[in-house]
Amino acid sequence: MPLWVPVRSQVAPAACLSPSPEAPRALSLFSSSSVFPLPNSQCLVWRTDLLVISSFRMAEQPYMVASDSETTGDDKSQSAFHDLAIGIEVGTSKCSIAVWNGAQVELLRNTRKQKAMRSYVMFKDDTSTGEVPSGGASNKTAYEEKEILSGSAIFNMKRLIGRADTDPIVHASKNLPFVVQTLDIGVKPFIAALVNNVWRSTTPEEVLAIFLVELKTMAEVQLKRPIRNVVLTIPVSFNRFQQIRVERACTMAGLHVLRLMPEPTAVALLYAQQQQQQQQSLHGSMGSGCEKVALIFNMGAGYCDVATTATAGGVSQIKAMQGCTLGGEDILKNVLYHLLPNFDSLYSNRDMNKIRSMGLLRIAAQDAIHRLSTQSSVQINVDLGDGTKMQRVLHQSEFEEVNRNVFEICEKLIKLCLADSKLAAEDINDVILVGGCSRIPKIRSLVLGLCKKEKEYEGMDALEAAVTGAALEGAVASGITDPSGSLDMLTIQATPLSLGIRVHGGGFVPIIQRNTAIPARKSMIFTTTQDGQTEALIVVYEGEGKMVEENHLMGYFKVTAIPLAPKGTAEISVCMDIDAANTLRVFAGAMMLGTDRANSPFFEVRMPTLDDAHGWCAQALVKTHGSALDLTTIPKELQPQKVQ
Amino acid sequence: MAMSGGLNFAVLPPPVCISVRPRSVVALAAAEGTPETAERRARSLYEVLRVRETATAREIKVAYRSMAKRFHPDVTAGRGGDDFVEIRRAYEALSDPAARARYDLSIGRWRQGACGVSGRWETDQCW
Repeated sequence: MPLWVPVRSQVAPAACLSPSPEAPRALSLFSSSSVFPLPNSQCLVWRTDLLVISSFRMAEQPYMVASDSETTGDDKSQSAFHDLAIGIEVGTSKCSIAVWNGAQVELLRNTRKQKAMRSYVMFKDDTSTGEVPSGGASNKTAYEEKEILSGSAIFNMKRLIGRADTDPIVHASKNLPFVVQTLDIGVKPFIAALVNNVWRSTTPEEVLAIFLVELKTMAEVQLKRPIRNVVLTIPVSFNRFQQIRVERACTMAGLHVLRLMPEPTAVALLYAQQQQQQQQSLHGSMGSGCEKVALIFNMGAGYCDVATTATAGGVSQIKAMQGCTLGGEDILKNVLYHLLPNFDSLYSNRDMNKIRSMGLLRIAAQDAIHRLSTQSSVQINVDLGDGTKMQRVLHQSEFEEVNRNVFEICEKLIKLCLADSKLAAEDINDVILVGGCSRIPKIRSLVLGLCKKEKEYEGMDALEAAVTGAALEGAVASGITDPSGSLDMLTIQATPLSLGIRVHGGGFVPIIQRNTAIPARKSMIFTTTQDGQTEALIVVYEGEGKMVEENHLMGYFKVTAIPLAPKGTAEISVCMDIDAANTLRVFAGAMMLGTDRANSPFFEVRMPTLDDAHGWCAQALVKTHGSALDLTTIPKELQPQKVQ
Repeated sequence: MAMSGGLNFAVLPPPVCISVRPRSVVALAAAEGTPETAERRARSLYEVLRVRETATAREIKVAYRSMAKRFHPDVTAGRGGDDFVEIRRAYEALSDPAARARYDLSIGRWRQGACGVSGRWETDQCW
């Protein structure tokens, strides 16, 4: 079916109206298309297939990105895509940006030529720069790790963002050099950096936003175009609150989030591309080929993710995902407490000398952990500055022993993920290990052992795979096509966490189960718990707990106009819809008795509707309404779920 | 009376949405294996995936993948995901042998016109 697609041309409508020397070349990109000029700076592209080119900019100001490898064609690098989304991975420790350059994905480097930039924001009051905080991507100053650990910088934003002060991860962050204060009442924690000997407060979102502004500026300078759209990678375990906070930070930085992509799914997209290229070179055809199943294990400084994906013909279908807040930070903490059992005492009173000692020990421990990836033992020599010197040898066996809990959780995640995806170790073709912690020998052997594999999948850079996948998704979702088929692929995402509602007695009934393909739309019928009940509360939660209090409250609303009927007979339909941009909408309403018609207009609510203090809301609802507005499930055989 | 064809509304967003997304409504109805009234005849799940009714499991999978590549919201920038949700539902039903068998029965039965359109799942019992 032919399709007319409006294409905005920001820079050069002239290229459509009066062909410049570049025009024919740029047009040849769309070999099966014709371009028609329109008066209002728009072009219409007539395409014979249904792939939509959302926008492109003619080659008046081509940006050139220096590339190590040869480009496959002149045309591609000549055309610029002004709305092309870039890929960003903001890691707990490091961060990187990548972009589709017309032929392949290119990682950007900062002025210090780093592709992986330290994620932090320095709040130091510097007379030369005023009080403008600067981060790891900045080209002004390269702070040493020692300074980053002095209390003046905020880092580990990814571990703190979107968490309440009752969260154990926030509590564990109290041993960081900057201030993390908790009052344990379920609100945002207080964080502060040391500026001019004063603890100045900020928030994780604000810190992330400052950092993103730097990344954005850096990319704009290098790509010579404004950057607006981004594909950002996130951990699998991020709930919707955490996602919203990340989106908010992006908005503060002037970025529009095209997709938030769980890290292993970004890796899966890169894998799909590699598999497709491999099959094309083998068979020279675009045939769908045989299906390959991969297990992706990703562990960085803050989070651990596991996913399984089935890939064929460039389409990667995520079968299951598991994730938790577990990473290099936890390993580091275990080692620190092993080296110095009274490590707590170093930060309790926030003495500047103690903070400095703690920083030095942190650096030494970090370095030891890195070296243990290739050595069986390391010598630690560190002068803590307060007269204490630490001189000792750390053996790999010791390291593995103190981190046993970490390895056990990794093992559990992999087993859960395999079970969720109904796969046995034998079904897995490739094991992909990415993230900094995947370099730890014990973790590699553990993952490979569980998957019964001798060696891991080769051809993927452990530290660059996720951001590369994000840049690919950015290009695909921006509607860029590539004549050589390098962008002819797709990752079909899945929901990492179940979504459902509260029922009578405080139980959680999932409507969209975890690992459901996105976009998704599922619904269920519920019924009343009281005779003559005319209203019902729809209380929406996200999580895996059987009871609602184990899950995250997303929001609530009241369904009205339930027809008068004895309890258990009225029908209330609750439908959940997740679109491609991962927006959750809940539709609910009452049915006319004995029919499938709505009794009155349904309600449509975009979730979450809540912000902080969600725990309080749930308690307040119960306190105010008791069980008067409760719903309950109806027998399974009456659910419209026979053919899913 | 147009809506009497079974469970459609029980599983659907409100009527407002229905007018906005007519195709998905029809698809939902089909995906639930609901007997259709003449004026609301849906495309069959096989038609959604563009495969023959005799297609093998492998053919169904390949068809799903190629349809996903054309209709997934990532590649149809600007248009909603309804087409893909419809394709996905069809695939979920047809890739599960038990669900497919049930669905086959339901459409076979619908063709013979033997069943009324009371449309509740109690009709399971007469299959």
